[in-house]
Amino acid sequence: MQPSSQPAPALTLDAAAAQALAERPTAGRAWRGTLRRLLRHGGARFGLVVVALVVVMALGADFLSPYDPIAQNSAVGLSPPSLAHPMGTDEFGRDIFSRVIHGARLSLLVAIGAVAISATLGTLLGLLAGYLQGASDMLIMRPMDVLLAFPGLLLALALSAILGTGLTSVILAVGIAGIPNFARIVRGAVMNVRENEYVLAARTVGAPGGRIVGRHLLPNVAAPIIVMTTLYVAFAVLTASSLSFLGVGVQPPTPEWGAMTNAGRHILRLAWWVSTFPGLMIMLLVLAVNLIGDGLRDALDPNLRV
Amino acid sequence: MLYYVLKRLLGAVLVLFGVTVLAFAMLHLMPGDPVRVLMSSMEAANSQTEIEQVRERFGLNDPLPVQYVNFVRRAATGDLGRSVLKGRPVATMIAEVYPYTLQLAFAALVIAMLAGISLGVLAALRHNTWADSASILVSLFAVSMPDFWLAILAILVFSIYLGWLPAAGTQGWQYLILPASILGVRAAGSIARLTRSSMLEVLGRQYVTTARAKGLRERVVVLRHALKNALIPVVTLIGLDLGRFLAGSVIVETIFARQGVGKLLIDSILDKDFPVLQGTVLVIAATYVLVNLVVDVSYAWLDPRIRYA
Repeated sequence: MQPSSQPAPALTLDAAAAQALAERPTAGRAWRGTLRRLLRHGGARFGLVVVALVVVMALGADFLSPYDPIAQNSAVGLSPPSLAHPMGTDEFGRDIFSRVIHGARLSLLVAIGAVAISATLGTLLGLLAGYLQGASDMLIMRPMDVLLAFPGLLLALALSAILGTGLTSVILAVGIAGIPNFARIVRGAVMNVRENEYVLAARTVGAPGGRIVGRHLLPNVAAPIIVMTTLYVAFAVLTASSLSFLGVGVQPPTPEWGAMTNAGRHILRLAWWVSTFPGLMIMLLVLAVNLIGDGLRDALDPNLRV
Repeated sequence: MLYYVLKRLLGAVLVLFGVTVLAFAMLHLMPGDPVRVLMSSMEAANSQTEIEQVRERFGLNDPLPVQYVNFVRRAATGDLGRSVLKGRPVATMIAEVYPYTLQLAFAALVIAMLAGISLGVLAALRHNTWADSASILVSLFAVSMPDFWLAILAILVFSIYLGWLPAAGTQGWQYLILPASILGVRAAGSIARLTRSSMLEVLGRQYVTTARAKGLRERVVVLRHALKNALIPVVTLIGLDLGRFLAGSVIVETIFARQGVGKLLIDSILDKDFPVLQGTVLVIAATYVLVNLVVDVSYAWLDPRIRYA
């Protein structure tokens, strides 16, 4: 995205503002540098690999899993990890490895769905509140403050009590719970950036409000949004699996990692593997996302902070 | 200072009102007739007269604003309704289990602070050595682990395999160790991270260099001058963490079979006992708001620069 390439109207644009406009790094160059820095970060590389694996699992679940995830086989109920069943079987004889692979699909769906809701709605509200300020700001942010008065899991729990059980409810509950977080961060970033010279320059030249928001503000608040997104993906995966663990999220027999961890809770003494492996997958995914987030933060830091 | 406190107090009161609106609105946001929601756990037959009776009993025939005012008025006097499942007053049910959750939360906070601060200070002092990287890694793991999984692992190792600690129950301090540690782990991780970066920043400041130049022993420099100032931002985390403990108690209390507000909340959702759900949500959120208010004020007291910002 290039800054508006109008010949500088020498009479209306003051020298400093014009220079600021010209000196702002073109967004395209900025992103490539960020990507390079991200890939150099060791932890982020590991994180990317893990996430890629999970995506492969999710997409290829039907091909990769050796058994049908809901097929019961009481003959091999509760057998420990072995060659035939690398992660053992649960009390119904279902192969845990296959269920874990299918669970990847659910976890990714929830993560993507919830974050999509939070990020788009939250960013929109934050942009409006930060740019318009005044009454609109208060009108938007007061309800956000109220929502933020509920600790994360609690809000998701309350929402899922309203929305019911099941995958869609979980996505909605976790998605809505995240809106105030995004709104607050974006609003702060917008208020920061708003007073910068290139915005003033654009207003001086008479750019309409929409264009200012879209072309000048948005690319520069992108950094906090991206960071917040990775943080929220981690939170979404954790919260969604917690909801399913508690019994108010995805219901059995659907193989969701949180629900699977719960299923093994009462037979720990007999079969430690039923709870351990699904929980391990959750941790790996969240760890990977956090590592990517850390890498992104380091990569974005020196560069897009205008 | 007073002005700051009053401003914060006003903000908290406003948010509290918003919280009551949300708690009240929950009933009406549920899909279907509020009467059905309230009755869903009652075995009474759904005859027309009984539905009308329930409607009257819960004041559902009044216009919404009136219902809301009554709700707030009653809540302010400590009446949060009655459980539809057990018939007991909700406020009593909450008051009975609240102390257990508080106990758990404080124990978790103590553990988190001890572990987190020591880890953070250690990492800062041993900056750029393996100890530093190790503690960063540990805090990263702490923050990424699902608490319910960590709890299960802890039970597996400490309870079943080693037999050191009990896994379920509320009586006695031994029963508190595992749940409080699990609850505190994630907080310890974030406290460690913040302490480390804050400490690193403070150690680079001029007054620290001056103290060293004065010839003070390193230990005095670190403990007396650097640590106090480094801990200021950590105070804000404590408020957040206490709130998270309230929420996290849902999972920990369920797994370790402890009574508490969290367990009350999840049970009320699963049993569809709506008044209990409403009351618990209100109490937990109100507690969180108050705790954050106290933390905000104490932060201003500790760091005078904030008051005049």
